[in-house]
Amino acid sequence: MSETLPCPALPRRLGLIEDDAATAARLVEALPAAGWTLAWQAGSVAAARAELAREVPDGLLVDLGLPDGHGAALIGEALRRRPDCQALVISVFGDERSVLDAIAQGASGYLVKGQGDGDIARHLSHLAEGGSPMSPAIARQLLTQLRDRLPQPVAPGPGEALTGREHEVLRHIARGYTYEETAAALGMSVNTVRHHVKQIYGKLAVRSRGAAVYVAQQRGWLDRPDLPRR
Amino acid sequence: MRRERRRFGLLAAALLLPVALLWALWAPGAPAPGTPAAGLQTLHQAERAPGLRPPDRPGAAADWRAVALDDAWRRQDPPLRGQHSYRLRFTVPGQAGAWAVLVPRLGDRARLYVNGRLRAELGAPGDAAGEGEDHSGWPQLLTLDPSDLHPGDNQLWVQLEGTGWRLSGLSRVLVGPRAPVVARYRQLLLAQLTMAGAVLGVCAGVALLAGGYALGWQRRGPPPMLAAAALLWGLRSVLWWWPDGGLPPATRLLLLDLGFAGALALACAAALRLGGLPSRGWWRALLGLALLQGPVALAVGLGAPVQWRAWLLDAQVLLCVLVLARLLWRAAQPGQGPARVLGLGGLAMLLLSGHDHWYLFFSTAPDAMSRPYLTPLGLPVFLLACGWLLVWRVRRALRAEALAQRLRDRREGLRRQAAAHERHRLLRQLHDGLGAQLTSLLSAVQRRRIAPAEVEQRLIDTLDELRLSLDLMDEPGGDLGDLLGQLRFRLGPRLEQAGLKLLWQVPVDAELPPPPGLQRPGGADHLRRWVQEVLTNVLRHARATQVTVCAGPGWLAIEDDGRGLAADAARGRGLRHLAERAQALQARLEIGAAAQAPHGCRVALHWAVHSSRP
Repeated sequence: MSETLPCPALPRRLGLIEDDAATAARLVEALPAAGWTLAWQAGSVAAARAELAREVPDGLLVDLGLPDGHGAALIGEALRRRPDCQALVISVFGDERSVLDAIAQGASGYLVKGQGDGDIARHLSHLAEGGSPMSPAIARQLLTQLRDRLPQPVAPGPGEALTGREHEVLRHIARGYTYEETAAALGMSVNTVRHHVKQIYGKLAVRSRGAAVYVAQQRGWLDRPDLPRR
Repeated sequence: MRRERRRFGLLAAALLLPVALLWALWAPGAPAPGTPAAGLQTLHQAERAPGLRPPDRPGAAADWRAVALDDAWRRQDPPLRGQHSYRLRFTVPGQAGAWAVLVPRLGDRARLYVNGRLRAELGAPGDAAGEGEDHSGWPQLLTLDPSDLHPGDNQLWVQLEGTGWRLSGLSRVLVGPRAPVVARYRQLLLAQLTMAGAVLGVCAGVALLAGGYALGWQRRGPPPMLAAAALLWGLRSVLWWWPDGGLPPATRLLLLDLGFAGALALACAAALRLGGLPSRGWWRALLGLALLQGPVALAVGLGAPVQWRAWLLDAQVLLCVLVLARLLWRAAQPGQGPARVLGLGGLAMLLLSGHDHWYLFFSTAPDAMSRPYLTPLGLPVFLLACGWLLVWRVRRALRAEALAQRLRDRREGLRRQAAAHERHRLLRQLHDGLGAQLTSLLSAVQRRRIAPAEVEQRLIDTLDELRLSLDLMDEPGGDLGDLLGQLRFRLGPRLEQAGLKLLWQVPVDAELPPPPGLQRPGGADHLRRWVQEVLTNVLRHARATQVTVCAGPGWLAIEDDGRGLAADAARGRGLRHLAERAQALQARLEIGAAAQAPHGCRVALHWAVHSSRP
């Protein structure tokens, strides 16, 4: 996956899609310190579509509940046009359901609003570094999905199945261990843990149908008769 | 469902039809059992000559042979068939009043003369017009006027004709004063009528029950078979007892044999299926033999050896006996209570038919031929057993269906109750928790008695509380480790903010079955609050620097390095809450000194862990 998502040089440009003015203002304030510059800002699905038609930035921050529709669809649209775009969902609670839906659309993580400014800055800088937070509930959900619903990778391409290390990281996070503790237990650095988490998100996104079709198109698999339809 | 049961109950009541019929027959007043009345003569001896000879032209004396009226003729080889004449003598004392003659059985057509005068004609022997008649099924009564008799020797002259396929014979004859003879005749007649009533009643009842069930519920399988068998046997019995069939002998023979074979085959096939032994092979054999009966009866009617018919019937009966043996064998297996009724019914059928077989072909009793003929009752007894089993099966199925319905209703009720309970719990939680926190915060802000930093902190606390509640509204997941993981994610930052170091020792790879009470409504909330309250106690009272959360299969413990329980009386009330939550979780609460640290406290839950996942 790292081949298909190359890391561009800093500073990176970010599109903010958020209808709550106060939250938007706080996020805009926190961007520069975390290594981002604001590319554009939109308060509705329609406005965001117009902006995306003009420019798909390096990163997207998407609030899911917008006045004229659901923000998750925008992530898919952006990714179809620029696969290396990193999209983050803005969530009030970080509860797994809406976040997982967005991840299935291709989002690579989420940001919890309603926390202190310090937390938001920390999350945004993690995002700039390519990592995104993962809660134990999400990790558990991912493990369940891996075990029950997706016994085999969607496509047999290299890198889509989780590696043993990634699986171990996921299991530690699901049982409540922090990134630091996980790193210590597995004998790796915190940054490596973050990298693994990012890889896991990426692979999950590939497992979603839209992304799988995209990847398949990229790799010229669509003329294969045995391409699974899910 | 209740309507179905009522409808079927009405059908099942049809089985009581024979009882009703018999009661109607007997209610008018059954005659007292026959005691040999004075003056009655039983004639055991006769003289017989071939041909229909009139009393005034008896022919050569050498033609007449003395015979005993003891049914031996039924075993003669070749069988006694065709036309015969009998002459019998009886004595009338001096002054004879009104007399009567009773012939329990004769076959098949007859003319009776007393002292040379024709007194009765049954089916005109020797005349082709009466060929279809058969009077052998009923006792015959001849009433005599005083003018018919004279003191001393009198003569009874009987011309008989057995119509081709039946035997022609005469049973013992009873002669005497009219009253006791008529009483005896009535007894015989009533016995015969009773038999007919029972047979027709059972056939009608079973046909109604099984036919109704077939029409209303199950169009294939045993019910229509049973109904057809009962109908066939009922019709055949009517034909059998109806002296003037009005049919040509060959047709009558064909119908009787087809009725016998068809009813037997259908009843056996239905019984096999009802008894849980469905078999295509048996069914084909039974049906094949039954259908063969038609051509054979036709051939015999056209002059083929009469033995063909007998052999085919024997084969049919043998097959039926095999079927019954199979049913009996199955009924003898353990756990086959209802099938035993079938076995018993079949056994009764065999015994009834065997009774006739014995008296007709083996018994030397002189009155064998005047005994009641039980074969017609055999198959109905078997049909009754089949009908009873059908009723039992259907009633059981209906009852099971009713029970299943009740179970569904009960489950639905429980589900609704659980949902209502859960809704109530959530409402209370929102009201007492979030509502109370926000209200007090609002009041503080309105009265300007709170610093912005504290407002922020309290809002963060409230949001944390809400997040925890939302986490728990999701499916609890089933594993204690996952639940603890999410709790740590929510509670960890606050402990660290308070300067308490959290050591997390939850095994990553082991499966951690939750306490049993976790699956009950509000169970996850109890666990979460238990952990929260223990940690709050540590924060507030223990003066600890680090706290360890550890878990294993069947236990969960929180240990601190504070000043220990003994030094802390303030924890008493909190402990009561912990104990209540432990009880709700169906776990045992243990509080004691910390295991590892030199001081501190350990609070733990223990619960029984059953076998691992299947």
